[in-house]
Amino acid sequence: MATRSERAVVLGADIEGLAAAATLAAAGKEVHLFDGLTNPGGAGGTLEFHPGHHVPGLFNETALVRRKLIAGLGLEQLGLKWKGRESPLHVLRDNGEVLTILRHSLAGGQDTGSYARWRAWVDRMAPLVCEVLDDAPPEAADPGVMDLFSLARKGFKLRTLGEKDMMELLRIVTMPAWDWMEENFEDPALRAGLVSLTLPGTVVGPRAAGTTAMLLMQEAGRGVEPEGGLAAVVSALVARCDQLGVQMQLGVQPERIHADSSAQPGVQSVELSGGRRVDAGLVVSTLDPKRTLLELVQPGLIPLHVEAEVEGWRMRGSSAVYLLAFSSAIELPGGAERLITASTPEELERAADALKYRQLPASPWLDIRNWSRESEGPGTLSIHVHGVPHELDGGWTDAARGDLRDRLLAALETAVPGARESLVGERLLTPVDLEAEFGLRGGQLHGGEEVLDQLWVQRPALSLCRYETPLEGLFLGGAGCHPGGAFVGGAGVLAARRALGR
Amino acid sequence: MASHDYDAIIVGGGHNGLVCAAYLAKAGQRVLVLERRHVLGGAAVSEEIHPGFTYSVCSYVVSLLRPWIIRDLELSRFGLDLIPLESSYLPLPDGRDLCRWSDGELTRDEVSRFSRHDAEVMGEFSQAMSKIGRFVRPIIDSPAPEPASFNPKELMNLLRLGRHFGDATVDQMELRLKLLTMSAVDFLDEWFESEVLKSPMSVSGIIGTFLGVRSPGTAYVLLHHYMGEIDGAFRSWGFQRGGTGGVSNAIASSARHFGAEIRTEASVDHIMMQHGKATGVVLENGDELSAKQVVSGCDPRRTFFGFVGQEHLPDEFSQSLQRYRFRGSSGKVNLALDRLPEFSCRPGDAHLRGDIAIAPSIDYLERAYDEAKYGTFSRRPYINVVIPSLVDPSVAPAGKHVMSCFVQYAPYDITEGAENWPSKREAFGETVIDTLAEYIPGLREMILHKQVLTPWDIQEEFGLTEGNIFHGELTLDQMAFQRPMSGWARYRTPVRNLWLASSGAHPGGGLMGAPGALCAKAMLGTEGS
Ligand SMILES: Cc1cc2nc3c(=O)[nH]c(=O)nc-3n(C[C@H](O)[C@H](O)[C@H](O)COP(=O)(O)OP(=O)(O)OC[C@H]3O[C@@H](n4cnc5c(N)ncnc54)[C@H](O)[C@@H]3O)c2cc1C
Repeated sequence: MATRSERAVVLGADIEGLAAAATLAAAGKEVHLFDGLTNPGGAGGTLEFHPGHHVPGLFNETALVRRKLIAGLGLEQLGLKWKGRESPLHVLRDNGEVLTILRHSLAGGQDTGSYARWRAWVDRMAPLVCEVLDDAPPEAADPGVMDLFSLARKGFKLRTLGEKDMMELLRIVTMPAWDWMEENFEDPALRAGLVSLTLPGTVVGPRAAGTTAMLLMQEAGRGVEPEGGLAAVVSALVARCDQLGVQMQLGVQPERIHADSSAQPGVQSVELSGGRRVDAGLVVSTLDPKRTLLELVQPGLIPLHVEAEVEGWRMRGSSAVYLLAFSSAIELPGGAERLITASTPEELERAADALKYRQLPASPWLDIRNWSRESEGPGTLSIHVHGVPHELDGGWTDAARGDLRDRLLAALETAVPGARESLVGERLLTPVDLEAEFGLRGGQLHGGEEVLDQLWVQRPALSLCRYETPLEGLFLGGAGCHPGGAFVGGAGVLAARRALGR
Repeated sequence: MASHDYDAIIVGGGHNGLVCAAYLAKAGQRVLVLERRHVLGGAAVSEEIHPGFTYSVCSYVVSLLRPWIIRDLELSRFGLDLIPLESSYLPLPDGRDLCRWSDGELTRDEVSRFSRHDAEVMGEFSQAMSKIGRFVRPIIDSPAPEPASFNPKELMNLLRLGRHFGDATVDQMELRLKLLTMSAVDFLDEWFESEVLKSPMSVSGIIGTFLGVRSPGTAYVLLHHYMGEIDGAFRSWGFQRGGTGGVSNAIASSARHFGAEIRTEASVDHIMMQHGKATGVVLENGDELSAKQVVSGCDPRRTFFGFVGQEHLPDEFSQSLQRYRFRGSSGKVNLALDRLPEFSCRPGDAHLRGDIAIAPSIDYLERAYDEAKYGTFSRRPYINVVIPSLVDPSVAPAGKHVMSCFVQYAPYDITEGAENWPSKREAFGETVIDTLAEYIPGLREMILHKQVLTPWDIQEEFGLTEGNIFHGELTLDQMAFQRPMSGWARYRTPVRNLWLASSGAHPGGGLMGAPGALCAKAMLGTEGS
């Protein structure tokens, strides 16, 4: 039997939790992993939504996985493969033509020259952006000399960019993506396509200041996709955890994190549903910060000002996921694997407007992923819709769901005429369903809104951004921590490393 | 070397141009100010448009006029006379209302009608904001940091994390970061529960920008309300007795006292250039005047593309300037009234002596913004109303009143094209009056005269490009070392001997005088003092 200090508990079996567990176990800890959900990987795991039809996770975006951080876990030996080439993004124009966006080429658009110039600049930013994404944020909260020093070092790195690039970076990060795109490109479809990717984790539209930061992080931080979607990462992680002896129990709810009552309280044990207790000196929770610090930790142990910070953490969902099963394989326009149906930034903005008034978007735009080709059963589409509020005015009644469904099918019919005829099954996940089925508070797909004031050192709060909490031995490591839910496989590993004192 | 007519010629007699002139004259230079219009002050001007009624045509409250400028230029001696605003009133369509007073106790009572919780935390909120305000104040009182010479210390200063680090607590740091990055609404949500309080407070974040109150980065401007010399909610705002133009006139008198020459109805056509240097100006009437230095008190676009010309500018500079965003979003309606208007929510006038906000809810403000995004003026806009004649009878005949209405959103770029604004002017004015009449029954019958300024008018009449009231949007990417662009935030320009002293320079727009004064100091090499 391991002693308490050798034992670690991980709460949350999402990708971050699995990655944290594997990291801790590889370092010799006895690791116990619990999650109330029964499906490993959570929203990232395989989901059979209709007999014979699976999606490899709910996410359409799978090229932002922090490959460098999970590299140390040896997932490739367990069968994880990466695609040999980047995956294109397709944008559907009103006239039915398709714009194809690749990192270094553009097909079906007129902005080729300006796109190449813009991309060259983004590529120059990539090393810095990736370094920020793949590293714990510097400690700014503690007014110690070391921290000034580390922030300054980041400053020096900025400097190595060269003065002009650095100034440009400082200029754009706080801008609305709308403006940044307009400065660079004529083609509204190109602008819409690039901006659309930054919105799923937010309740804002492209005109909101700071959306450029997310756009830059994504474009500079993007790699190739894992073969088989995020579910493949999940399976490899599960296999690795198995190998390392992680004791994984799903369908077991954590109820309370107990600590001793000394002046500097430290984690003692975790209480689970059914009254069982596991003693552990180390707990890494990838559940959302509110659940962990406000609901699980014994009251009175977290200082009031930290509690207030966590209460202010914003997790408003803004998207619905619509999974569709067809009797035969579906072909999207232009042979797209991923298709954005918004051809102007204004369509994106209008859909986001609906969120403000807790309404459904009048004409939703779709982010369609065609999983038919990934041997996930015949004819499978996963559609993300931005602009769908969790707190819908009037509530999520059957009528409201029906209404949303009608709008989505109408939008699909415009994009893929005739698709409806071979529809054999479907599953509509509103933000409320996402919350109920995947434990995503507010239906927030990214663990917390991804806007300027909830990124990097402010994710989830200045005093928590380094994964440590005021409770000794308790670490936060979910999508609510840097680098956030879009950048899968980042926070879990970084938190586990902190927990191991690295 | 040819002899020069002047040491410095200042193009534009707005308040910043005048402040700059006064500082230079005080330092012994021969200075000439050239103003296109018949009156001085630019956007800080008073005019008797209707007999007996003095309108503060554009700018209507004096906010952050720097105390050190008031002292240096002895402005009180030359006629500066500020009457503090004592209240901020919010009427609601359903008959409820809220008045926030400079007296904290009274405000708490008012707020507790809506939320006990909010009433309780208000004091704490003001204290926290005033504290942060003190850290931020040096930013608007000194030249922008120059990150071009990047070293860690400069980076720290830039983020304002460094310099005062020793005496700042973690909480304050957190607050400061939040203010820089959050939306006004999200920030206020963390403190307050009642929209009746949050909605009028959030608005300060969007003035002069094309953003909504839910856009990140709009929280920062909330601070401006707490940066006054006296800590307290409204003390930092005031009316100039006799109208806002009195501020400009006081500065002009000071400048003349120190020896500056000021000409009105002297419109500059272009800046004379020789070997890449500014050597003087040519007026529209053909007169040529030479000077060792030329200072522009006009906005950056007018200055560089209007007076200098792209052929004299480095390409990169021109490109950056093209990207500098103006896109004005506000208009103004000034009314002469035959009696004091009465708000149906609350009779009497005690609550009308400060400013009055038509901002009944956050959704209302967002809807107003949405309409502007899609190219029309807001059908129900945010309006900031003042009735200065209540506290300063000199601006209207006895028993009569002037009412000044600042209106947002009125986007410069309307669907029909900005040049078609004149055909919309009447409808715009009517919209404002209709909106107000919902709170002031019978308003229409009281109106003796109305003056309506659209963004187009603000551009054409007052020379503010695209009608932006601040000479360029005051957004994070156009502030501090990036105003008007990085590398040129210290009043110098790529044209030798040409300086920028207007709101288009750090620390930006509003009746502050700081750009003018800091430009003069840069020219004189006395930045430290
Ligand atoms: C409608 C409105 C309401 C406002 N309300 C407030 C408020 O309540 N409080 C506040 O603090 N701020 C307010 N502002 C903002 C504030 O008034 C301005 O930011 C500030 O007055 C600008 O001062 P300035 O000296 O930098 O430039 P300006 O006042 O724009 O001065 C530039 C001067 O140059 C002159 N000029 C232009 N072209 C030529 C030429 N060719 N030759 C010679 N001269 C020329 C112009 O006539 C003008 O006098 C408001 C602005 C507007 C438009």
